[in-house]
Amino acid sequence: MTVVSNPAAVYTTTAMPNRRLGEFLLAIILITALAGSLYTPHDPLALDYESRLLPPSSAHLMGTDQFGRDVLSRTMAAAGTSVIVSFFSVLVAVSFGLLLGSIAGYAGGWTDRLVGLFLDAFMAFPGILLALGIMTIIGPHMYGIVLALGFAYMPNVARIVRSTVLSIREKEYVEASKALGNSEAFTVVRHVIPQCISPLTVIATAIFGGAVLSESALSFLGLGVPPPHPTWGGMLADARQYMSIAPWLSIFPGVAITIALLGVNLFGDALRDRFDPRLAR
Amino acid sequence: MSNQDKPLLDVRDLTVAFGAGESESQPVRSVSLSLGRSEVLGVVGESGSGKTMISKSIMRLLPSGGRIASGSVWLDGTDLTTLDAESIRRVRGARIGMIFQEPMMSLNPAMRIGEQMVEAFVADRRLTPAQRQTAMLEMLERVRMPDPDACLRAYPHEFSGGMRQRIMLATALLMRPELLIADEPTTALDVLIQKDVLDLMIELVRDLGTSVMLISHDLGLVARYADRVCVMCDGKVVETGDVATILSSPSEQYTKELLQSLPARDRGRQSTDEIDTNKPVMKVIDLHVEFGRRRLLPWLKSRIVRAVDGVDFSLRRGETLAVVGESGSGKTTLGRALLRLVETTAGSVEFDGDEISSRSARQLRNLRSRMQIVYQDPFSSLDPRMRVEQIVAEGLRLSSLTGADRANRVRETLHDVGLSPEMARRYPHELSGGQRQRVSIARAIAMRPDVIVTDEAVSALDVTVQARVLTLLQTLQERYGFSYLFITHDIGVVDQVADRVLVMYRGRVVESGNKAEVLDTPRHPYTCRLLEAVPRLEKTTDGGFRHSNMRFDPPPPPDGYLHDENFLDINANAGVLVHVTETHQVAYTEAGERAASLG
Repeated sequence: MTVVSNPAAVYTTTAMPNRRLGEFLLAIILITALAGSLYTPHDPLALDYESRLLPPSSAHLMGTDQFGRDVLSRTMAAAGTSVIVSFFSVLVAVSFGLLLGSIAGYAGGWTDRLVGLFLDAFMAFPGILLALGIMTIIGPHMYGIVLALGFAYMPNVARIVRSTVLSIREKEYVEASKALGNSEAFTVVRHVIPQCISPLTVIATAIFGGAVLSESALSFLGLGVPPPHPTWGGMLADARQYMSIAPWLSIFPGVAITIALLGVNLFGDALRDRFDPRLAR
Repeated sequence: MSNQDKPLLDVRDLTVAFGAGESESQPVRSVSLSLGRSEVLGVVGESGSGKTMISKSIMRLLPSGGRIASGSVWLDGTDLTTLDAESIRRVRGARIGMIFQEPMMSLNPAMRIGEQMVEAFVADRRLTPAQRQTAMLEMLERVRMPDPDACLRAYPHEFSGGMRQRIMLATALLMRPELLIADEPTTALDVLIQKDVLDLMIELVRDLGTSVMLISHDLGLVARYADRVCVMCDGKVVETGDVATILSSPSEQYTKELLQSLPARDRGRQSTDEIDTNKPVMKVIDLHVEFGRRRLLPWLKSRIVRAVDGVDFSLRRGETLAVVGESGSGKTTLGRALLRLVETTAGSVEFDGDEISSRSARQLRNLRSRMQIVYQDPFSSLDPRMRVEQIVAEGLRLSSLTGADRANRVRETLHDVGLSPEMARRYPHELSGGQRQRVSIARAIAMRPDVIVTDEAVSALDVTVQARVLTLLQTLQERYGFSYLFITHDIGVVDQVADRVLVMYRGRVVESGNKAEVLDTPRHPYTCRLLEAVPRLEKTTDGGFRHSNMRFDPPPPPDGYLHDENFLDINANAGVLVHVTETHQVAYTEAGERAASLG
């Protein structure tokens, strides 16, 4: 095997299809989300008691749920909600985490301790519990979820950024930047933060996946996107009761979540490799 | 028996290969060498020459993916390449001992020394635990560990690098192997400790009759300790022979090049006359830098480390002032303090007539472009996410140059440091160590500073690359008139580039003066020991080299002073710097009241 001695070979033989697959799956989700907001075969909210719990057929490709709503339409409509909620949750988590983490890591001393204390307090709660608390205060609303999930995941990001910054700060090129006359803020933005991209892409994709699941858990508790608006998690939660008689109710949103997570994770790996000039070819 | 005449180790036509087919690489190509009983063979080569791979294939410890493609390794009549896994395990440790470069990493920090040493007996079940204990104690005594009993119970972090390497040596020799492979055993150690460890090692192996394969990049070191030397380049043996023969009359071109690359005194350099002695560009008066260690508990006294402890010197325009010392002597801190990259505790730094030690960060920023620094490690001193041109242009951001002028300056600077224009678009990881160091230099000189601090700037480079970078630094100095503060531990480099020399020990200057004064007539006992410890090659009149074993005895101190023998004691009072000539200063201890009255 040539693989052992040549890292480039590993990259081309294994990483490329992963990237392709990730891009493909992600494209499916995004197109579904976009399409779902423009057109669905049936109204995702329309009740039809005549056709409750129908198995997949030509009229309802993914069957219907306990209220006779078309599962395909609901899955498509839910894609938009899930993607938007997860995306903005990640954005909130990463931007605040990056800010707090880099300040703590670079300044050190008392600043670091204070920020660390704050983060520890945040982390002491399980993420979902924290989100629950925030949601109870804000009330069930889509942007409430974004904030709740964003802040619930923020400490993880801040931790990772802080530890990366701590090691980068001691590098000689950071001191060299100061020796060239650059200000501290410029040095951090130019030389320190870019080094966090690799770990950040990894954690961001993990958070994205977590957010899809947490959003569904919140929806299940009635604190997520308010019903009747469909979300994958909400659909999955509803489907639990009918698992034995109508498995399609859980299969299709479940498959959607799987595709989204797999796509995002594979794409995240590819992104990380791309952003690192040492690995790029 | 003719057994005694036959070589102990006979490597025949050895080829080591990685990969297969098109991507196959051969770090070792048809190497043959032999090592007699009780002989010390030096294997010399630059990084990538395959010298370490040879030792690894002898031990059959090649990294995964590597294999012995052809050839054989005979140890006393057995071909090691044909042994099965079980039999080779019985050879390792018992018949071939090995010591590595990094004493910090080759000992397990979580295990007591005794527990690790006893592992050496794994292959030998004949001894009882008590006998093992005795053997370990005896060996530790032989490597002159102060308290062998306590040593067995201690953890590795309790010992300094030199002591750890002696423990490694004791462990490797515990089974009385016939062959000891020492792979760059002292490269990570300071020069005085290096001499200690190697002197001890050679004494010990002579005593035990062990053969040694001493792998090193340092030709001077090998010349001091080896009987024969084998020069390697690109996976091949270039030349093998007696040390003296190879040094005095090398037959191969590469060996000659290697010898010529060794830093040696440049007798042509007579720059002291040209330097304007009245106008120092930088003047340092009684500089102190202290680092406070974090207190364990709030009411405990905080421990203070005096990294720089009252240093005075001045740096003149266009001169090279070398700062020499061991690790921990404060030379790096001194360089950083000059640039205010660390805060000074007391004393003043004058730059071009301006006092800068009290400047605010903002005021200082304008001065930054006039003082620059080049770091030791070309791997960590360049931002891996920036292209070469961006790195070089970075300092120009704050200058008054327009965009087009900046681009021109970057091109010109890259040309100055001998990098081709295509390199501008590359990332640091695509460059070799030497090229990276050139980028580092380019970044420092892009703004045409007055002063450049080079902090061990050539220490991480191979000798031939080092020689080229040193020449480059000298050329640039002639062209632009930079002053260099040249921080290094390498006396050879000092000999080549310096105008004046400052010897530091524990944050204090123990001796300073013109290069010839300090290096040829050292007066401080520490300088003398330092110069003796450095393995040096000397050019002979017929163009060859020979190893010179220099002895320096410090001449008697001037009236009223005593030799500063207590310089080793960190708590002792600093000696007084006394002018022995107009330019040569040496630290002495004042001889009581009499000295004070005499002045």
